Amino acid sequence: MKLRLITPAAALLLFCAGAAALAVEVQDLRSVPAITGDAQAGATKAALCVACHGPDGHSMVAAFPALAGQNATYNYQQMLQYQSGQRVSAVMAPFLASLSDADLRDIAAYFAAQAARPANAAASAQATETGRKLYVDGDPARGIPSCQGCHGVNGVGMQPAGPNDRVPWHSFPTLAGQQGDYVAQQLRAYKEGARGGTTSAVIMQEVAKTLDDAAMQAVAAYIAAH
Amino acid sequence: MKPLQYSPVSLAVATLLMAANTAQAADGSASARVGDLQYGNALDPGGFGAALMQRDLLGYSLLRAGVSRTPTGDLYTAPSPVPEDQGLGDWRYTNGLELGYITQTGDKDAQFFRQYSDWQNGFALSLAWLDMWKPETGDYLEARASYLSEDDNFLRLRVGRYGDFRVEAFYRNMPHTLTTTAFPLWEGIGSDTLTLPANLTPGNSTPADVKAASDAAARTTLRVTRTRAGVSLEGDMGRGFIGYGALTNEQRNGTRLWGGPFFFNYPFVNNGGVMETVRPIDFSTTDVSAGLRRAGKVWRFNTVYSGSFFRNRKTTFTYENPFVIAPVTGTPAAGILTEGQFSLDPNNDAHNLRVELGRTLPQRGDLSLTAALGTMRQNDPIGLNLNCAAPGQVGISGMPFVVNCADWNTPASLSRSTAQARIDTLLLDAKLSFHPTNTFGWHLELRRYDEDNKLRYQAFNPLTGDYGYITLNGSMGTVVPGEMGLFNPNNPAYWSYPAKIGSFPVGYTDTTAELGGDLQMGYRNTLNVTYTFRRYEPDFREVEYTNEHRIQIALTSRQFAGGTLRASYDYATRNGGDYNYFPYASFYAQSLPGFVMPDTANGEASLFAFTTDAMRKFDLSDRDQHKFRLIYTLPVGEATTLSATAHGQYNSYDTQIGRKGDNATGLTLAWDYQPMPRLTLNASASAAFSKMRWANVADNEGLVASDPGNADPTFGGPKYPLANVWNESDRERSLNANLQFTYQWSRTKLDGGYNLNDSRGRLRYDYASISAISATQQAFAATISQFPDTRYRTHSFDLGITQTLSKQWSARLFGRYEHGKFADWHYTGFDTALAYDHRVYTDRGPATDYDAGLVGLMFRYVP
Repeated sequence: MKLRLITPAAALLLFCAGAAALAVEVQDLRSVPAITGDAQAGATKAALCVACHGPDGHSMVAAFPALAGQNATYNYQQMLQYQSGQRVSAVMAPFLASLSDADLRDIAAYFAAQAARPANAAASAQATETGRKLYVDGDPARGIPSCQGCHGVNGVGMQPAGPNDRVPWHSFPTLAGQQGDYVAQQLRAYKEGARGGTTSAVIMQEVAKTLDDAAMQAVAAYIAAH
Repeated sequence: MKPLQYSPVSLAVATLLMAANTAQAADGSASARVGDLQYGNALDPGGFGAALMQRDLLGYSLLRAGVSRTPTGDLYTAPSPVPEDQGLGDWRYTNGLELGYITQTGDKDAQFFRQYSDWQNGFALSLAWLDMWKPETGDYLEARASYLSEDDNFLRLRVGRYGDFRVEAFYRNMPHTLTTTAFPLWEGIGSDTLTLPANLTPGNSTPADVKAASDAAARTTLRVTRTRAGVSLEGDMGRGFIGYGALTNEQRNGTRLWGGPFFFNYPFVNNGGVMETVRPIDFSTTDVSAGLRRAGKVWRFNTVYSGSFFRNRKTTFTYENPFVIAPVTGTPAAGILTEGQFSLDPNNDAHNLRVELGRTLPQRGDLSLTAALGTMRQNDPIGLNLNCAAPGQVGISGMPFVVNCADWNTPASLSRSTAQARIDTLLLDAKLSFHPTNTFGWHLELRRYDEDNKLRYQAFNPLTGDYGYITLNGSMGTVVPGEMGLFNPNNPAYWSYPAKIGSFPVGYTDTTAELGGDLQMGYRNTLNVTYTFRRYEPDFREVEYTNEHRIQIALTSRQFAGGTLRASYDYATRNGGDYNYFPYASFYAQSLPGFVMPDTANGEASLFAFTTDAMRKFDLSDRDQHKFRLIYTLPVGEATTLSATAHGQYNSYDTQIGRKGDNATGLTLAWDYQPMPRLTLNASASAAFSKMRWANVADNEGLVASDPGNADPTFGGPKYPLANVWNESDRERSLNANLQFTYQWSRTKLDGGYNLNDSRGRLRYDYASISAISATQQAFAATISQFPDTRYRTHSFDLGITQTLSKQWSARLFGRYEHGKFADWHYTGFDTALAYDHRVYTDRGPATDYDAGLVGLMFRYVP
């Protein structure tokens, strides 16, 4: 009789022990609505941003992301994540700490209203056929999906296919005019797990696992050239 | 933006990886060329460890929230996360195992509780697996194993390279418990020789002795275990050709209930012998196939040889008879019948060679041609009429109906020593289809299948000049004068006996022609209309042919009241040539020279009618058939799907005697609710009804003495009077209700279910007058109105809780409780006695009321 009681008791203890936290919170971005903001007000509020991200969001430093033409919703979500600490940056966190939700929306709307920077000759020269193929077709043999499936032709983003299209394309970043080094840096962060925590990041982590350094550089160079 | 609890272990579901895993899962299971299609056990029917896997709370897609549906509208259940793979050189792999302990409680030996599951108290391996793949080359290896008991386990290994080759090998055991309440009288259960216990004397025991021995018999379980093993391979042979082959062997071992006849008992109290014995099952079936196929842009080609080889290690079966078999004449028997015998399933071989050729045609057309040649052979030694030893005799002493054992217990007593049975088959099929427009297509198919049974066997004993086969181990001829089952034109005792002297070489030719068209009406509706003509030409049967005309109309609509409707209706009418109610005369002794027609009461020589001329066998009689099927699937909102399925088939036969009608109707309603990935609720209810009606007319038993040779087959005549007509109907009703739920917290999953099965059989009869019942049973028939209903009902409850313990470990505590009730009048009284007069049975039948359950604790470990 004692043995009969011990078995379920032990099982319950194990279950309780299993409740110990190993879980990782994943923020579900699949249903986030498209945001709106006052782009004109955002121009003023973004005054500090341009120091690093360049005038009108055209970053002059390869390691800093260009923000011009970026989807407002994506940009807004990233700023929220810096504020909450989910996305860690010692640089960004202090700048965003004092901004209100309205500020973030206005800033995001402002950068979204700017035209993405056209490719320069130097970037175009570094783009290779390998990068183009990876971006456009992926490499099924290596398990690499195409980038344009989510980021659109030439990185300008995707539009809903119709009223029944439930994919939140507005929450995915555009890549047109993005800094190549920044793209490569982020791909590495996804691969190493340094960037994550959202449903979108989960997708990118799995994509990045399929890319080696050469593939990252090739696709980053292609993006920088468009 | 409510945060979700999510483990990184389970986040391997990126879009492209999903596609890769789908390909992996589908690599071979869809191929019928592999030995077995489904591997699993009672703990894990799917064979992939679903019970211990948590669900992915992000649902079916990382791209978009909400539920996903099939094109028809059915809900996809949230998938389980794919285990995180690891590296080993150039290979990636996942592996793990699920094992634990199971304990049973209650009536664990109840037949229905363990019919197809060999539950054991003890440790069980639910699943162990290893999946390896090499992304650069497409090489893969997949291993699966399970072990619940010695008779319930499997092991499967697949290796291959995508697009190049695949090899699969497997080994498995599957249990089938037939009864857990067998009390066999005999010793040697499982062997081909059953002997009586020491306290019984073969051929000379009293009913009281037999009953005492039966009451003392030990309980045992009768079961058959199927052990299957095989290997299959498929590979690219170059130039677009793919070669494939498989070799599978199945061993079936165990025991099952069997008969043991020594003449009637009910009308002959304290005589005859009716026995329920236990025969051995010791089969081996080996299936081989080898083929070559190629699919080009224009031409397709496939040729395959398949062979099946059945072997029975026990082709004879003998059992000792405890009862005294005595002549009704009051004179002594010529010999004591101590042993009965059967010839068991013979060894046989089958070969088939199939060639298929296809070609694309203009107007999106396609032509496919198929030809297949087959042959089935069986050439085992033919069983001997008697196995009694010389100088013994069988029959009635002092009368001319005695046979010598020495004349019938030797191969020399047979017209040939082996069966030499052979059936050849030929299949020709041609199908032509075109789709000249986007909305219209049509097809024409012609098919002919011929089965030529070449067996011609005549039972003749060259030692005696007798034709026929000694009936019921010689007991017929021992009890009743002249009923040994033999014909001999030179022996007055046998020259008027209509012995069966040959086997019916049943074969047939089946010719069908089909013309059909499909019309797409708008984007969402498709209409199909098909006409089929079938001509069936059987050999040596009551009609030379039947013709059937069938029209089928099918509609698929994806805009029917917001749901998807699939509906079809068939009408078929069959009629045939002139009906010969008894076409088998050439296989009976009356067709032989020297047969002397017995004299009838009016002084004419004639042979009694075998059956009435009104009899129509259901597979050949004129028939009208209606069939329908409706399937409706309705998505309701985001989270609900309702579905309903109804089907029916109604046959009416144009006959006064024989099967008059049968029908089957079924209805299923289902409700699926999945408001979020963590919660699913499924409920369904179904009902199935069937009915069969038939009529017959009993022989006028009064003529047995006054006019035994009455040859008048007329329905309503003196031999088959209308007063002897009886009608019977058999109604079956089956109800099923099922409720399942699953709720998952971040690391805990609770699931459960309830299942009800309730089936009822109702046999009803009426008769024109009591003379429709055999005179020996009329008194009994008058005491009952109808047979009681048969009933089978089970309630089963399942509850399980699965807990993720760590990145590697999870555990599942589960229980099952089953309550069952069973009633079948065939087993009435067997709970107290299995022996009655000269009848002895073995199986007491399933438990009439049982409660059984089990509890298990399983652990899953994924390194």
